[in-house]
Amino acid sequence: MRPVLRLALAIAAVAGGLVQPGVAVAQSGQAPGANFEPGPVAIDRLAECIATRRQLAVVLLMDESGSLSRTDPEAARVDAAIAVLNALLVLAEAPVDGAPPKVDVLVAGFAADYDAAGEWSALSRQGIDDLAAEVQPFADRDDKMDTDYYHALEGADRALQERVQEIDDQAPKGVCQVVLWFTDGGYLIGQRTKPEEVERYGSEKDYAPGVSLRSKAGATEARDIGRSKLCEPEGLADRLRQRGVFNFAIALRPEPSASDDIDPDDFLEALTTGSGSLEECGDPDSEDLGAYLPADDVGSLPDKFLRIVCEIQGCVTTGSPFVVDGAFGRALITADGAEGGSVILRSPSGEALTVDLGQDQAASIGSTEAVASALGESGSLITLDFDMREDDHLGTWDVELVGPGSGELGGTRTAVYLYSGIAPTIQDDAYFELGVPRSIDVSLVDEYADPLSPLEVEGQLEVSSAVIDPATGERLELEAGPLTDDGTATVTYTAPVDLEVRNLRVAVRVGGTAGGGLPLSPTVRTFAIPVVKDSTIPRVLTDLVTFPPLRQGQEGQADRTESTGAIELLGSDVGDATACITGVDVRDRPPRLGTVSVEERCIEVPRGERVSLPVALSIAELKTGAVAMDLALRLEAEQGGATDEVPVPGAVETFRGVDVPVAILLVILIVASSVLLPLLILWCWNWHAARFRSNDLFFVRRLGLPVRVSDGSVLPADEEGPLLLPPGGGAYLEQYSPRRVEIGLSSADASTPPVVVTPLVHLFALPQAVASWNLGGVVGEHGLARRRRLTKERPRGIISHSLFDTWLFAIDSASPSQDGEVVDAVGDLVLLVDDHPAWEDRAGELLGDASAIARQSSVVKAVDRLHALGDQREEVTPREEGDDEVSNATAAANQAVDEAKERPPEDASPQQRTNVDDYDV
Amino acid sequence: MSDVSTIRIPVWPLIAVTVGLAVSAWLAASNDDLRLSWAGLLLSMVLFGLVLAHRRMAVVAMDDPRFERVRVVPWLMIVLLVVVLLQFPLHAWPIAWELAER
Repeated sequence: MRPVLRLALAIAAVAGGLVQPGVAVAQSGQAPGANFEPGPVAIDRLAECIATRRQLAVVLLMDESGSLSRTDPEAARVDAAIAVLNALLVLAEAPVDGAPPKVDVLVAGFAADYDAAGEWSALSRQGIDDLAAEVQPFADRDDKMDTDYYHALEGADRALQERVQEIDDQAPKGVCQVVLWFTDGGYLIGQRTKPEEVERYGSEKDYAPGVSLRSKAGATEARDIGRSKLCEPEGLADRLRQRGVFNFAIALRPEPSASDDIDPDDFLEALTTGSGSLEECGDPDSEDLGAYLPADDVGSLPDKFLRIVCEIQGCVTTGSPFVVDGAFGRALITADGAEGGSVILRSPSGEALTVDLGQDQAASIGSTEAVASALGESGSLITLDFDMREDDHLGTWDVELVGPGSGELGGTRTAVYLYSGIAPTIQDDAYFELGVPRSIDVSLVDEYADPLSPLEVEGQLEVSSAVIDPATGERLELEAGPLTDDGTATVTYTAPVDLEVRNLRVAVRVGGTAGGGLPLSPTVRTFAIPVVKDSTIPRVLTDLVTFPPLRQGQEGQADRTESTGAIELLGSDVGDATACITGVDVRDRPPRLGTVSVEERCIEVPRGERVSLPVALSIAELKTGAVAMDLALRLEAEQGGATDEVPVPGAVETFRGVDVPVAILLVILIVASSVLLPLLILWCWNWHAARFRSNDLFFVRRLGLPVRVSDGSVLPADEEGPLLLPPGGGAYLEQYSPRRVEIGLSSADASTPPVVVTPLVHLFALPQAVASWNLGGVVGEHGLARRRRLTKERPRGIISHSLFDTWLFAIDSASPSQDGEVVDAVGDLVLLVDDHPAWEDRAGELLGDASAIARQSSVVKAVDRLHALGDQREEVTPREEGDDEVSNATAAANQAVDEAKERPPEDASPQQRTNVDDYDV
Repeated sequence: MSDVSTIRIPVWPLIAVTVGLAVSAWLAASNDDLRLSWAGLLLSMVLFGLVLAHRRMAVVAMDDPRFERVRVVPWLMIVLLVVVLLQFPLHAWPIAWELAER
């Protein structure tokens, strides 16, 4: 059979038939998956988990290693994975105890590392094509290095944990987690022999640091470490089991490495189930949550997964012809032959129906409705719906595949899936009592919920059961008595006296053999059974009080902050009792939810009667989210006075309308304000610091520096430095205030305004100064600041430009400045230094700095000698380089100072002159 | 320079910011009470101011001619600055959400 059509048949089989529990598979010539022995315990556990939690998260993990090109050249793994998706879709659509479970799927690949192909998706008929599109590219992904099981399972585990957390945040009721992975080999780490392999896959594993994969020995050592990390006590395999993760490994065709001393089949089995035939992985006695599904024929994988689903929902396997007895309600027949061929169905009563392959068709055979759907041009899916109230379908059915002419086709295939209509149920008034053995009756019903006698089923039916604590997940197998002729079995259980919950789950399985000796896989149903402390106390039939949703501030919906639920109670067999709601204990709630309260209310519970206790819930301030609570229920028997405090779980969804655009705007405003406020404080701080400290703090030095006048602009020859235009010569302090300093120039005429220096507040630096001038008609302004990059360590190679030591520049008055003309000239550097005691000792250094600048400019015309603070005259401290030059410059500066003294500005005030004289300008 | 001097900008403000960030993160996680969000916002503002002050301290030292060399840890400052800035929306979101409720 062509893989694609086989896949289509499988998908159709699953999608079309599993709405009822129980399926049987048959095929002509060869039973599909004949070599398939599923881990029945793990499958049973998964079925129970789904029935209890109704939420499933599955990571579909695909091997991408290079060996796939040999072991699975036709990429049947992709067909199988898509079939699995369809099988899971059946789960997502088939009601379990009235509601279908939610199934979330994540498709991921693995080779050297785990690699998710997409996001988590809720499985639905509408969205399955998108998931299939994520799987399809894996047909070409068979060229990667390594088969790294540790990374694969670690990534899948991480993805599951994240998804479970997300689901728990929305509806905290637990999630069944499954890793379902396809692989074709053992745990293999390849030797990196090429640079591109090292670049792409790395030269070592994070779980084996320091072990180089460039050598064969290193690759083997890394693999051994990975295996150890997987299988050591409390290793990854154990952690997966402890978290309740079901681990199903599908080995396409284990391919042992030449250097591998471990049987990959055995290792995979140990990894999934805890123990193989030769070795163990993790705790071999841990709960059996894994199954290893080896496949010699990858094409049989779709059938394997169909059978897994059948296991979950109840199925049998058979061949054609097949026998239908009272246990079955539906048959699904898939057929693949030649184009133009047909299928002939013969009912037990001898009626025949011919179905043309590749054609849609609807007909009936007696009371049985038959619907055929085309599967490609040479395949068909035929659904037979039996009327279980009639008996003309009971007996042997025959499926015959014929060719375009009239001959039977050899080597082609038909498959038959039989769906059971048997399900277990229990008595309505069943309950357990603490410390007292109690028996409950299990009975069988058909798909119409009508009682079913084992006598109606030609086979042999068996009932088994287990009790599950919903709080802890602990599970205890129960002995079930034999089925009586009227279809009833008895299960006995003694609830421990220290049991905290008042509700237990009982999982009941019905299995056995159907007519013709077909094995009938178990159909599992779970039931909530109340537990009472005393037989005189009423039973609580409600295991979860679900309140109608509460809403507040939602557009188009009325506010509703109060809601009413009910607790169903069944009076004891002994006497009357009273039940009171006394309070509520909130277990989980959205943040900032208001007070949750219930109205205290009591009700009489008469003997043997079923009553409903209304629970009025109110929440003061709603938020969006789920609220989980325990309602405190007090039960008191009138006879004997026995009492019991029972926590009854409750849940309510709450919704609060929020104007999201406003919220976003508010976030922006709050964040902006929060950022700006510290900046404002910093600005104020800097503003406070940005002032000249006193009118005694200046002394002025001058340096002649080369400048270039070009097109009205004055530039320093070395392309930096603030500029001050003529008339050069000396400068003196003309006016002082803490936030404004005016500097006159001794060579300027009376009409020349002074150079004004004002503080400049800088947010992220020391306060700086700005000088503005209007000299000779040239108006200019220059910030006496220099932006510096903050580095780890900054050598101070140039003079600082802060308020503490600000410098100005004045160009020689004789220098022309004409449009378009470039003239080299010489200007004066004026240095303003703060009068701080610290500078007194460093005055020489400052002058040295100034002379260094001058030296860097290559031309030194004059340097003021520093006369610092009163009578202290510092000698210039020569710098490390150009000492002689600096000394010469200092001598020249002294001469210039003397000249400046002889030419005091005419308009300088006596006080100003005094200041200037003080500083020996 | 004859007397080369080096100043090492103190790291304690950055340590204080790191500790403060831990507290801030805890406050952000404990968003059950809006007062904690406000406290977290205020704390983030203080931490932001502390980082700014630390940077100012470094810049002032760089402009101080008394010191030949200034030793700072600029990358730590930048990392903390970014983390502190990320704290603002964390704390602001519950507040804004609450204020925007109808």
